[in-house]
Amino acid sequence: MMVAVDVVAQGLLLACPVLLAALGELLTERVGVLNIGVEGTMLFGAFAAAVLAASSGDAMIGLVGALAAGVACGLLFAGLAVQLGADQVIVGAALNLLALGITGALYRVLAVGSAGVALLPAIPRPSPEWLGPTVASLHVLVWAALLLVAVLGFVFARTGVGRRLRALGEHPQAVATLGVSVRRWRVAAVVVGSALGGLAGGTLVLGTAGSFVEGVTAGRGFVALAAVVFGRWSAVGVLAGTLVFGLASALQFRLQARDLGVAWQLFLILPYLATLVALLAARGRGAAPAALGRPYRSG
Amino acid sequence: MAGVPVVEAKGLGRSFGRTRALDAIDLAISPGEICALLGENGAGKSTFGRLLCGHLAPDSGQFMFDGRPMRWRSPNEARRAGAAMVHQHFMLVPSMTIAENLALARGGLGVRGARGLAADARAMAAEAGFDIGDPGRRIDAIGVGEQQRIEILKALVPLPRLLVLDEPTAALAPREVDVLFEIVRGLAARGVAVILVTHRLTEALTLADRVVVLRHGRVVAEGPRATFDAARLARDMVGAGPAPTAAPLRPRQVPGGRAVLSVRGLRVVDERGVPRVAGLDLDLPAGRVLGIAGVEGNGQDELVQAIAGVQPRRRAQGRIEIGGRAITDPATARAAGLGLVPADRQRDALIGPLSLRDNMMLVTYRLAEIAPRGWIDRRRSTQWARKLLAGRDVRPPEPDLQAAALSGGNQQRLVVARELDHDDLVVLLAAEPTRGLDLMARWQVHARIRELAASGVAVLLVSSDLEEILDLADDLAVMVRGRLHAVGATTDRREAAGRLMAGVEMEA
Amino acid sequence: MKGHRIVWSVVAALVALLVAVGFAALAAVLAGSDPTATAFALVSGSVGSSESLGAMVLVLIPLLLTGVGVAFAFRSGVLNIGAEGQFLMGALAASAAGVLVPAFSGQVVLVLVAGAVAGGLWATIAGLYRLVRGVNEVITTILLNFIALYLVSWAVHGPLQEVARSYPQSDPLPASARLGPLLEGGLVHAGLPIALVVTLGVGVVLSRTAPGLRLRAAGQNAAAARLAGFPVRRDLLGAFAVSGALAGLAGAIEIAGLTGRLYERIGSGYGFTAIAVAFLAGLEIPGVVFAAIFFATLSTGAQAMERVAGVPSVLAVAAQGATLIVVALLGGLRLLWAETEEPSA
Repeated sequence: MMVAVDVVAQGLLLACPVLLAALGELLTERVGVLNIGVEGTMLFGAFAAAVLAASSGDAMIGLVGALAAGVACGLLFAGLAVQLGADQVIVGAALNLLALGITGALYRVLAVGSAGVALLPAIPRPSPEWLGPTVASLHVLVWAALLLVAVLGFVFARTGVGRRLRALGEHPQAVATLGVSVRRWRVAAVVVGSALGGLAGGTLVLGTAGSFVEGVTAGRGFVALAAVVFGRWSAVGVLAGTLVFGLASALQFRLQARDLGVAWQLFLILPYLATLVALLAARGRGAAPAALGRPYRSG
Repeated sequence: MAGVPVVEAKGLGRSFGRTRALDAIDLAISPGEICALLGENGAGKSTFGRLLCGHLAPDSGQFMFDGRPMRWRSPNEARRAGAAMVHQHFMLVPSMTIAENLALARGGLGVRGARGLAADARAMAAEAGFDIGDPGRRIDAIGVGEQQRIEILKALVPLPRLLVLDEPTAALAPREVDVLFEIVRGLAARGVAVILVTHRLTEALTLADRVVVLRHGRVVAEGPRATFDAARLARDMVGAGPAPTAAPLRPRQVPGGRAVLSVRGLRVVDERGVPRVAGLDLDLPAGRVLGIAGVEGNGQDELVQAIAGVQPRRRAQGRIEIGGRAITDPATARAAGLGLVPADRQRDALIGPLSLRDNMMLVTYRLAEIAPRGWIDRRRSTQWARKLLAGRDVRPPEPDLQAAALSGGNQQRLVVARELDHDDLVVLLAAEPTRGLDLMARWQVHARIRELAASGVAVLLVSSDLEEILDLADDLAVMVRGRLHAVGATTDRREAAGRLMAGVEMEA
Repeated sequence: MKGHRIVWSVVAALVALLVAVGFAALAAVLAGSDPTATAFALVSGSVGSSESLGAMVLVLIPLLLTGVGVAFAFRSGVLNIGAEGQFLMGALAASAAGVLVPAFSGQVVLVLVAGAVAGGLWATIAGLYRLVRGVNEVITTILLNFIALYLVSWAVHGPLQEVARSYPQSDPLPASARLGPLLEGGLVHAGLPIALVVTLGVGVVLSRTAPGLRLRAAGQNAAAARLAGFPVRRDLLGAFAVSGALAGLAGAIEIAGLTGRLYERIGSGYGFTAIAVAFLAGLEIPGVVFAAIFFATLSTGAQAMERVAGVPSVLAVAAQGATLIVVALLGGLRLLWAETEEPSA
């Protein structure tokens, strides 16, 4: 029983950055924009968080930096892909390469002078001790991410804002005939979504990994993309998708430690394979927003 | 009905590129008046409606709204001031419920649960005097007539001063049209000024207090309903013609001979499940030209696509044969010897970024003609393309040029050269084959079509240009709401076709 | 129009180069080294000597093949961003064919064919998803990238691991399964002529054959291609397979020509750089050669820069990103101008 709780808690901890990024991507895709640059956004966020947290000694300042980095990525992406109507796939791919190159180079340059980057302050953990050491190891952003699942789910299902956001991804012309600026709303959603992506990177280095290394995100941004598809564009579904990833990762650590003879690499494939299999059930475009990936050009 | 007009246009005009869509329109509409705006496709009637409701800005003239000069900055501003529009293409989100779509239109951004939204929707419906049934149903699960009512309801709360309905009956069944008309009359009784944009004269004659006929962006006739009858309206709409005759219309037997094109029981529905082609049979013998007239959007596009082999599963049924070979996809149609001039050349016939040479090869048998073993010889294909292009006077006849760089007329010539100037055609399917062409080129295309027919090609000519069909066709039919109505040779074909095109119901 | 495209590409390359040099100078200052020496290292390290030129060509070979694969895919309307995974599957299959099959003369042919087939099949999975289920290949190719990554990782820890079991890598391929050096004692292997011939072949197929025309037509306007009677669906699947096979072949050549064995993270990133290569080339096959040379030079120059001036070589990746940004920006601006020239009705 305790083992199960431990595994779930560890899975949550591992899933948290992916969950935040995936929720950001969910918001982005819901308004009809496909941003495959999540990985890059996370990386920028992770780097900003590491630098700021190390220099200030305060994890929260690091997280604010991560958010700001995410906003910057969002503005770049939205400016090109939404405002200008450039190809969303190209801009996303560009963001990933840019992040890998810039953070990699800066990391190497900065790490030479200061040893501080390796030892980062941790995100506060509010859980009381009597819940057990593993649950208590969950930091505040894990709870925040879970809350965000509920908030996003609520916003999409029961508020006018959510309705408008969904309509932007399904039938942007219908929203435009109501006199609402499709581009402005999409830019706003992309920027908020990217801010979450940046925060996800910050959470990764300050809450999970404990330090920044080159390419620290290791494909988690792409897992987030897959989780949105896996979760059929719903907040709860996204949570499920990222938990599959988190639990598979947690199990993999344990199996690796016990050396059961099961190849842990095959476990790492699980989340991706599960998503691919889930897509088999997709009929046509499935639950994807009807206008996903298509730039909106007004007449 | 006296007093200040709700809206009064003075010299209102708007161009798109080089086309003057609307030219100096003067028009005033009083409260409670139903004004029908009649005209063929491209007459400018939708443009007028969009100008009044803030979806477009005029580039000349102005209009007064409630006696004050107005210039909308957005559809929102127009809506708040009381000018609402119901679009021809529904602006409803298919994956959302009725209640959600209505809430979206009201624009509130706050928290409201499903039950609250349903209550809002019912209140809205009650205020407008509508019955909308269960507002929790999704749009993609309800019929078109219901969707239409939701679309209108969106425009009614709060009650507007002016309501523009753009082709509101395009997708409706006759029974649903009656319901719609009752609604519109009710609104007028409550003082709403209604503009009904339509190409169907029966509707204008049944519903409107006043009729305005537009042609090429200008008002060509205007007056109270009583001053019009169907014959005069048909004449005004399609242009001058001889006096009407009262001869009854009877479907005409297609004369004998082996049919090289045969269509049996063709039914096509669109993505929303609306029938576009409603059980159509057709036999076309070699060497005959069958002209299909009709206002655009009556299923011609779907008919042409189906014969060309585009038959989406679950949406198209029936049997089509060319020269005895069943057509199941475009490849089989082309292999059977089909030449095709589609109505929408940008979408269906041309590939803008590719060269003229490449575009000339965009038919399986054309490609095989120039590259029998799969190898495209640059010099030979260039000469081949240049000769064909020059033969249709495509300017400039440069095979290396991008097709997108050609003017519309020259693009049409290219398509004609590819599809008509070929010796092994069995069936030619030509939709609006002379669209965008000047008189000389048009005459040449007509000559080629006659020549092809004389050599034994069966020609199906689909055109919204009645003159073209009267010029060329041996047999004439009008497509109305997915059905073909044959026009007998003994009747006055122009008048009969005009009445059919304008939607005058046929007597049994 | 074609002339314009080349101008755009050159502009994009120049801006990217400026960005790269700017980053490098900034990094040099931060790292406390001399900016001019750094810039010099960037140039001399890539084309300055025959060794550095050789190193550049070793990067060029995989970039050329994967770049051609991506360009071919996008020209055919296939958004294949999974060249990385297809490259890895090619490398995996090639290693298996080299290590598990008893050595025989001419085995290298089997190795290369195995790589191409594996890459092609890997991409075909995404193609089937699109055709049968209507699922966008952007998502599936990304997913397949990760599956390929961990399959390689599993293979070098498991069935393909060296007999000694010390490192996560395969045993070396026998000489019969390897591509020899082009010149006696030289760095550059026979993969270069193969890559050039394949590039030429793909270019010719696209521009001078009936299947090429069909693919280009369907890639630009599937509706018109379909009405022309072209077998659009079959061709689309073919485009997936061919573009994947090109990346797979690149992976096989990397094994047979350069590394001689499989290990984790082999050729890491070529599949992503390939996207930058293809788009800088404006998706034109001849342009891919120049774009691949540009990025290969940048990458080896950056490595020299790191050795000489301590400036991180990973900046080359940032330059790839910057290039794509510029390409996207120019593309967007072009759309904007087209919009203002002719407003739609």
